[in-house]
Amino acid sequence: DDHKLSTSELEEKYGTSINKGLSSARAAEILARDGPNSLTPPKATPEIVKFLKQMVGGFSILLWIGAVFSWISFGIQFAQGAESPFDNLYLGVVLALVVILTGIFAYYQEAKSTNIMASFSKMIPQQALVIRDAEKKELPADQLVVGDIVEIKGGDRIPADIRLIFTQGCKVDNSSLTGESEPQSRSCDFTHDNPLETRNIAFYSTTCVEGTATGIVINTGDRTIIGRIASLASGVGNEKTPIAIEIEHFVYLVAGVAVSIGVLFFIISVSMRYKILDSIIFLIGIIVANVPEGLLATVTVSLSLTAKRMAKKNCLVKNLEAVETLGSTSIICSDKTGTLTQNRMTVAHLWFDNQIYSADTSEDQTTQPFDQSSPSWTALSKIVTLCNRAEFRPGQENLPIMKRVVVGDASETALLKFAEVILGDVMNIRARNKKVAEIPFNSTNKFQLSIHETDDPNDKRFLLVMKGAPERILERCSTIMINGKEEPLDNEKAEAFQTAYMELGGMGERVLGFCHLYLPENEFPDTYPFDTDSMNFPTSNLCFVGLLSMIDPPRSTVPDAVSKCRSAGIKVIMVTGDHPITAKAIAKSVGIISATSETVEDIAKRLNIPVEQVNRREATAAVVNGMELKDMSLQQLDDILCNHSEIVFARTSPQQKLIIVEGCQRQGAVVAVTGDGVNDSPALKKADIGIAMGIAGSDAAKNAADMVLLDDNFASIVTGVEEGRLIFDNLKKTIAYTLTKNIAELCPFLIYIIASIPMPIGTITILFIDLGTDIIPSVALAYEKAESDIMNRRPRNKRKDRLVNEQLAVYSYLQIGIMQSVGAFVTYFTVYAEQGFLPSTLLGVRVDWENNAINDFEDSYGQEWTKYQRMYLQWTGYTAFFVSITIQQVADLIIRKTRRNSIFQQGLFRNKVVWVGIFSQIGIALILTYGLGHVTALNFTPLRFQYWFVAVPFAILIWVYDEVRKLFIRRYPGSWWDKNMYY
Amino acid sequence: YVMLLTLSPYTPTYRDRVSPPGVMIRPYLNGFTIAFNVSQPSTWQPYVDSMHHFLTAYDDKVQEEKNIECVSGQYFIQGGNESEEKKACQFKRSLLQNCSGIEDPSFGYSTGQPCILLKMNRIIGYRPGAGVPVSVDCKVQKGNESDLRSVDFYPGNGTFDLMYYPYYGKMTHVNYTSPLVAMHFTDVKKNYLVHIQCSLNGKGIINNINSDRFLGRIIFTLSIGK
Repeated sequence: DDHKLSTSELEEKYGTSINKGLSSARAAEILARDGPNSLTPPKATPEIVKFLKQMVGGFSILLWIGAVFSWISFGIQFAQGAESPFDNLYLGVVLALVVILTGIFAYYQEAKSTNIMASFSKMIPQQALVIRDAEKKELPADQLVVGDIVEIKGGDRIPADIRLIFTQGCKVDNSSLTGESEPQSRSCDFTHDNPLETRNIAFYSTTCVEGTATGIVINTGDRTIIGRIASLASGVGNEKTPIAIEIEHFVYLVAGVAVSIGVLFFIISVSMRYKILDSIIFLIGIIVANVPEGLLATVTVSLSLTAKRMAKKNCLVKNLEAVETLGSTSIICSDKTGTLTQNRMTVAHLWFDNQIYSADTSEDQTTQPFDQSSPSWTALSKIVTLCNRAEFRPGQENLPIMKRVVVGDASETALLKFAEVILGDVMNIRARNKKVAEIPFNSTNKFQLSIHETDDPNDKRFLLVMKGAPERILERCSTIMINGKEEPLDNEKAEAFQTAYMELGGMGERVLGFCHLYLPENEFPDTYPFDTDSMNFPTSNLCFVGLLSMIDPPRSTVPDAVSKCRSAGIKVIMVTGDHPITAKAIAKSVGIISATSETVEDIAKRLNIPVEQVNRREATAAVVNGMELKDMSLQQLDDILCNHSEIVFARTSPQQKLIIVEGCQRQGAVVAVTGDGVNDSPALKKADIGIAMGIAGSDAAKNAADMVLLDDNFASIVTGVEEGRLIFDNLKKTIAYTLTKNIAELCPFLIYIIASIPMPIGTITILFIDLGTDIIPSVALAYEKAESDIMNRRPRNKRKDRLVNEQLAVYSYLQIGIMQSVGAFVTYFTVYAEQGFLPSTLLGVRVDWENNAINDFEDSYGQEWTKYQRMYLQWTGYTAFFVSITIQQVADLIIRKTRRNSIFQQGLFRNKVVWVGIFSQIGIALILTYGLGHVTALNFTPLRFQYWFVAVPFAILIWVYDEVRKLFIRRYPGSWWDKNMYY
Repeated sequence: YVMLLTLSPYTPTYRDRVSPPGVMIRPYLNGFTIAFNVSQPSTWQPYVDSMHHFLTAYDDKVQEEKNIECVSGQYFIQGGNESEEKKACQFKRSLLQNCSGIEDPSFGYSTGQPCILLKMNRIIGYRPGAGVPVSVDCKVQKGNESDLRSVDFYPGNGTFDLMYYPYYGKMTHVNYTSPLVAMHFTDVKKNYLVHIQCSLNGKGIINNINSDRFLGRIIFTLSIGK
């Protein structure tokens, strides 16, 4: 109720004094009672919970089970006094380590991306000018308490909810609170019962655009209006990101395969009379072979690489998974101001000499191309220059004109910059035409007037210049300037003015009229005392010079970006608080409403029939007013969203934004929403991906969003979409690459159990592939360029286009995977055969082979082997198996670069990182075999050099096979082959 | 599988993993602890049976029938085509004297003086000792030296005669019988676990690798009860 109280009542209520402010002691007391003046950040999950989540998420559970089984079997074997039970102990420890390390890694990655965000929001600590102990002090804004007297000037952010007690031309921008972009004036008077509407309260986090004010702090922190809204936003639940769903799906799939194969073979091995303990060990092996341990870490790295790349392109991603969400976006609900437009008024059109001229509105204009030879223009430019209170802040002479900071309102700024571009050094011109009197703009006059001396020393006349609402200006004119000559303003000329005014207004532009009058020298001598209150000078029968219209022009990159969205099958919906005409004009100029499409109203106008008679289906575009939206049922909204491809919502409140988002989501769309105001935060949270504006955005919006657009530019969203789509494709490739070798790791166990051959590959060796040689190559695939223009296809269907689909699994597991296994087994058998064990001898030898007591085991040639010699040979087998998988993974990596195009179309060497991956893979394998070949615990042995090449023919086969697959896919699109072999 | 066709059926491509030779003992009954009570024949009978079974192939008659007598003290090198059948040298059971099981069918087990046969693993083309026959010695592996007071070695002083080498492989050296060294533990501490290590000694023999306790040596436990 503070807005209803008088100043003295307020002083009493808060125990403060307007002149002296609170005492420091009292302020400290209140601060202790109320807490700091800042919004409580949304409750964060405790770090330890986050960490534990990483420890049990994904495949970790399976690996923990594996580890526990290893320890159990170690315990049993140890109790039985078996000879080498420590193998299982080590295996368990290694598995646990793998889980913990990948968990720590994922946690670290997440923490890092959270930190980026945290640092971002803490960038500038806000300061406030406070009166305490009868002194003016600069204090951090979060130290403010109720009852403090604060002073605010133009450009400041309001540091708390404030009841104003003194104002001077104060205007605030409440857009972050209400979405209205027009600045609202503020005064000390109580004007409305509703505290939100009354003029004498300024709200926390809004900005003061101009003027100064002093006020008493009445609410701080979470008790402010904004604070209450922000806490509402945290009530809207977070939706699971599409990529999280995909990865979950993938984890279930792979875990399902792992567990079912594991259990199946557990049963088989038990029924084949293996000991239970052995069967458990097989089970562990099968699980380890089946689970791509490194994959989730790889996915995280790939996503964060993309996030980094996007950050470079001005999309700061808070939540890694949002990277991909952006790629699957099918509807973007975009703000107008600042996102689609440049967020600054710019002169767009001029009308003088009965003709409309267009001005350049691009971001970096340096000249204006329209015809400036007419004397009317000279007169007009003089008015534009002189009848203007806006000024450049000093010390910016080296900056481009468009980037300079101006003190003044949006229209005047636009005019100042416009004049500066054409005439140069406006300030100097003003100095030469000294101002002698001025009436500033106010809402009753609707004009602004000033009187100047002229810069022509021979001309002693004063020049009166005036600008304002065109119809008001015209009323005051009796003549009009045509080609530099004053002509009487007759009906015909007034008609021409009306037409031009309507035309410019119809383009959604703000139009200003300009007129002037040279005051006769005899009536107004040098010393004439101009008095602006009594207006002792003529303000009618002036000479009309021209019109200027201004608009917040679209960013130059936006039309391109919108058309890109369109070809990418993404619907762009404009949601703005602006006037429908302006909104429509901008929508047309950026292509959200395309040139050929019409709204219901357009059709009505064209056919000259009432709006009600128009067939709504004929209109592809729709401009929906916020007022209409309020009365609509959900069905009607769905109907509009379904039936119109080009939609603009105008005069909408941020609350309605939430309704629109929900409507889009009901259509099954993945919705991206941009927003900057605090009131946008529920919509940002509700959206599949909330995009906050980095420059104009409020902290609450940034908190609620998944992504922050550093340059507020719509085009950056489109770049983000492109990156998001690319990463989805590339993750597919990474997963296909990773899954392939799982078969080559799994087969050894199956054949070992069924055919009782010596173990072809050890569990630890498998871990070295999954977490050693394979990691860098799979990350390298994240750097792969797109195969075709990914912005020319429709967004992926959440339900149908899975990350891991049947085709991918079948092709990776059953085709390439099997080839790889065969290649690896050939190497394995070659190694054994060349050492004296022919494949025929190996079948069924498992029990004797593993018997520690048999130290004269006979090979195919009659030679006798000790147990350790056999073990060493077995490790050589592991190494050979490992090496051949590595070699074939090189081929696998190369084929995974593309899914449809030939490798040669894609360019074998274009992605340098893939080659880094290949070299790292081979390098790691070399280090493991030759460098660590003597560390027995790792089960690697230095391998004869030629065994590296045994698998090469298979690697080539894999490559050729895949090229053939891709060839058929390209040749016969839509065929059985295409449907089943394209993943 | 084409790869397999390139392999020689006679000699494996590589023999680096199987040499130097490992060592095995007989009797062999699932482990390297030989424990029995002299007074209870059932406790040592399995060992004796195992020995008899193993030595059947070394019966003098069998050896004379299948194999030829060779010149002692030098390698029996047989040139000619790789695929030619190779001759094998006789190793008669009788060479093992007290441990042959001919005079004492219980191989000394009945008197508490067991015989244990020691066999060097076959490796194709391997010439042990590089000209000097490889010999065998035994000592207590851990514990008191005096637990093992005397061991007799047959044949000779516990050496593998050079004439039995090299081995030419299962395909061509069909009747090859590995030479043996019998160790007759004539005086071992009774009623006590005696850990014994018997090693090969000779040029090229490795018998001190920790990771492989059967390479050039063998460790077993004797426990003889009354």
